Amino acid sequence: MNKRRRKKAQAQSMEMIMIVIVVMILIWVGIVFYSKFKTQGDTGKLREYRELDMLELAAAVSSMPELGCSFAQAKEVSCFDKYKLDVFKTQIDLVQAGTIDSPGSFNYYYDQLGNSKILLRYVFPDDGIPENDELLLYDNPSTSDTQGSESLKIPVVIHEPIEDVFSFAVLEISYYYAAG
Amino acid sequence: MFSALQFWRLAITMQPAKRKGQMELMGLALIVVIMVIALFMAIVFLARSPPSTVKESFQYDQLATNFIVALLKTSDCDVTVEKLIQDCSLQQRITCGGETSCDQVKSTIQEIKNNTLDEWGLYYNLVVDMPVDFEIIFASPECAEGQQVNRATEGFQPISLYPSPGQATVTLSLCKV
Repeated sequence: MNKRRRKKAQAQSMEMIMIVIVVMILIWVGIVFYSKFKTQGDTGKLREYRELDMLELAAAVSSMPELGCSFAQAKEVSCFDKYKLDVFKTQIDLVQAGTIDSPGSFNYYYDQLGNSKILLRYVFPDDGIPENDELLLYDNPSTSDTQGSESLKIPVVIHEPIEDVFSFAVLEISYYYAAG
Repeated sequence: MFSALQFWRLAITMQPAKRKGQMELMGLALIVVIMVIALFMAIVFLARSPPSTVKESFQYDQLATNFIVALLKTSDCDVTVEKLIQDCSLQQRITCGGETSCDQVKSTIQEIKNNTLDEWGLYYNLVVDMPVDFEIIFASPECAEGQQVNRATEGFQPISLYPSPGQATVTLSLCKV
């Protein structure tokens, strides 16, 4: 009788141990899944913030009054003035090359454009466009060793006011961020 | 068929040992069911495609509209593409390098879309609809009319032919394949 009871008690304790093991495995699997989803969520949020920063940059560039076309004081949508772009590029290039000492102007644009690259690629017409069909307006990479970039393409027109010619171009905006 | 009512009637009239065995079996079955459901949910969650990003939705929204706005303003043969479409829709008086306004606007649009939309690998359907017997349609095979695709966004611009009646339209649909 005692032997049978002891056997039954052993079986019950074995059952209890098995249940505890199963529950622990379930909890472990739950924790692994939770941490995996949490990491995925954090990475997605980080990417979303970077993309929002880039869209903010794109909006800032598109609405810069010192670059846009204007007819009778009215600003045109998706239109840049060729001569205003040339002056902007010259100014930024001179400051970056240290030819002129005007940190104020560079800091002003650094506040607006940060670590980014703004490139204008001419598409049509073929005549009268800059060498290599490209105009690098601003390039200020991050000082970080490892960096990635997000980029966006916006179709625009470039107005040449003297000849009154509109060229189809693409504004390529890249936003640098520290990776890793 | 062994209904739930029959099961409980049997369970009540059964010997206590047998009833306990039945209950344990039910508990085991319940655990298995819960584990299967959890596994199924985990697989569904993992297999779910990532949601479209902010940049992607912005790019698709803005690209179609900006493309048409810029295209219509672009100069070609001393006039704009918009003027060429108007002329093609009406008297066809403008000629450029021996070509009519219709042929000229078609080749210009083709050149621009070759260097932009095609180069970027986008799927699109670009249509210039004019009230004349001349149509301009450029479409990726994957995005052509009648295809079952997800039309991500559409840019549309009507062009007035005033003082003549009617209008021409330019439509650019971008597709996600």
